Amino acid sequence: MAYENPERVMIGLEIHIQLNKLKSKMFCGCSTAYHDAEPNTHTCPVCLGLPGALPVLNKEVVRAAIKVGLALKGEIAEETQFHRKNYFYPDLPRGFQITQYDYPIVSNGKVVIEGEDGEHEVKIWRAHMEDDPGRLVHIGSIAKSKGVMINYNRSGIP
Amino acid sequence: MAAKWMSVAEVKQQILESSAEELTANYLETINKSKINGYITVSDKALEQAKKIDIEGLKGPLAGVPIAIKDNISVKGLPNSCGSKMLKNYIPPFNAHVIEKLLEAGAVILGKTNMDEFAMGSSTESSYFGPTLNPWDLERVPGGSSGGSAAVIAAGEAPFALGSDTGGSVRCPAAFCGVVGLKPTYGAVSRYGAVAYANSLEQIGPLANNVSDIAVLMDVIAGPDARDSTSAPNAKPEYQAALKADIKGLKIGVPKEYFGEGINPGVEKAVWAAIQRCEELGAFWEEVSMPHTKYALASYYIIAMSEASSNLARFDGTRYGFRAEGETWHSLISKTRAEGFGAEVKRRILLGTYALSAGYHDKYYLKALKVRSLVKQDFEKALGKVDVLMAPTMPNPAFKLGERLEDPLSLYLSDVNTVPINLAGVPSLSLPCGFTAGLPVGLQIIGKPFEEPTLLQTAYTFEQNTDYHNKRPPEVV
Amino acid sequence: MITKEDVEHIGWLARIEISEPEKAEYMEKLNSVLDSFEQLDEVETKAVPPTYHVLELYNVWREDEPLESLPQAEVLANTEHKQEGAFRVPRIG
Repeated sequence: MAYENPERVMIGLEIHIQLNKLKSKMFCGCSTAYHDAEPNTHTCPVCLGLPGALPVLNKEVVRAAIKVGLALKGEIAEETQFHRKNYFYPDLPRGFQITQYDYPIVSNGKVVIEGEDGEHEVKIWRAHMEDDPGRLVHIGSIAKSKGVMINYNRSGIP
Repeated sequence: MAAKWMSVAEVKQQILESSAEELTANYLETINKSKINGYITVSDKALEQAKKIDIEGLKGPLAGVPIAIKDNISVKGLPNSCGSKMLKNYIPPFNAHVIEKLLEAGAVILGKTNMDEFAMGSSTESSYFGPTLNPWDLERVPGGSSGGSAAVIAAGEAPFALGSDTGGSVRCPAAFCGVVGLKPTYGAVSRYGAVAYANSLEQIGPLANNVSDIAVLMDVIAGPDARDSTSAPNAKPEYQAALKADIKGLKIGVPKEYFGEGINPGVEKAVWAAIQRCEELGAFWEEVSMPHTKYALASYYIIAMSEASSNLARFDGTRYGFRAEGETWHSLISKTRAEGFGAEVKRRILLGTYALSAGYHDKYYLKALKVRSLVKQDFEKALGKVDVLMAPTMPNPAFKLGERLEDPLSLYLSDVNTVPINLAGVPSLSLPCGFTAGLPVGLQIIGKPFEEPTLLQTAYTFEQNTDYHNKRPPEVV
Repeated sequence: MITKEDVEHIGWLARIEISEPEKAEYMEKLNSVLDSFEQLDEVETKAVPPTYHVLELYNVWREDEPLESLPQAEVLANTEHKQEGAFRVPRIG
């Protein structure tokens, strides 16, 4: 939608924060220390989405999310749920991401920042937990790519 | 000596008298001569496994006892095809939880059995590897989707087996093949390693040619598993301790809705005779009503297809399995899925996708989940008054191959007595209770959550006071 | 009622290629099954909560302890389309 003469521009930010202080992945025991590792050496049936493998939530992810929520002065939900976001992309091994939809763990937070004209409150609608997909490396440029290489070490990182 | 139709106790005796290796070799020989296409893969490691057990000593409750595994339960190193072209050559690098338990107990894996593709079906006719034939009549279906598991037991090609039951897939083939099959309470057996069709409905279930062996298997495979978040944390009962031949005072509810219009008269007669036999043995029966039964089929199919559309999204040829040709990844996966999946699977994925899509989600998926609550309440109310429910497992005996392939709906309708149980998550066992026109009839015994011991005791009592478990199909070789 | 456009749409959503001649057959078979689902409209469910899970389990989780991962060779064993330890696919498109 285009505004002709906007009185105000509203900018939304979606921020992804990798919880890399945790020792293991969000739904499996693979180590999170994957940054310099050989491709596909920090994976298991769960984060590879192998048929029959099932996710088990890492308790520390919930604790970390609550910390984030408190830091953002938000409301911590009494009951929070995970949902599947189904879409197809090569870095998403299950064909769905395990994320949160209508019952996120944190809502109604705020961050106060110093603007040019004084204090400004940025509203935080919600914060929720979800896992990362794998990493794609395009062979050649994205426009003229000859192929794609996929490394799932990052798949399942909270 | 032909290793046919032995109970686990007899198998163990045979092993003591000869060896695990010889016993496994006998089963492999029988399988080699099979006419029923029950196995997709016969394990080339079975003999070696058996030899190892002979050498290391017979430790474990199932030491040297061979077992057949449905081809959607992961066994490390053996193909796990799920009856599909998509996974024809997929070899899992891990064992399912139940397989770990079986191996710890000393069991020998004979092979992986045939099934409807991705467990979607009631006749094993949708398998990429061709149908399995019913040992009682080679022109008829063995039931499904665990048709291979049930048929190999009936044909003497394995003493017992594991299957999976999402909407009747253990109980239906058990009924059609004249063997015993149990769908445990949802959460009683870990699903870790079993390829998901509909996660909220399914359980791995044992099949055997008598009730005691079902209990033997449950004592090995049931129990909590930290890798399956839906596995029940309750301590598991001792299933074999329930094998007492006594049902005096047992209260049986007979749901009138399970004797619907289309029921085969021979099936109806055999099931009522079974209920009367239970009465003679000291039980009491009364009619109960489960008013939402007729809506259970639609609710089940919407939920199952919706969950399936999500669970099968991972099959795109990128990391494993069949891969078609394509210039781009999106076209590659669309072709892979078009060619790798059979017709029934594709139909269910498409319908599930539709039921979950924006605009239809509330009308179909959400509605089905609400109806599910009502079906579950029906069971809670009925089982509040009685100890168990009894009904036919299937409304008809095994039908002829090809008879129901033209119209998918006609196949779905035969699940009418089995799907409500999966919606409610309660346990249910099917055992042989008679014959009609020479074909086995299954009696379904349904219980309260986690009260498998009551089901086993009831079934055991009936079995010990009748002769159906001793009947065998005519010589198959 | 599923139309031809619906078949094309869900075919895309589910990434299953459907040829022109197949579309008619899908319409017929899918509609026949969908028609049977219409009977759920008969059931009064306004005040009925949905059942997502038959077993009401809360807070099922594991400790943040790292476990062994699969060796790279085993991860790649089920495909021939691999390169330098990574899975290889054509450009996204």
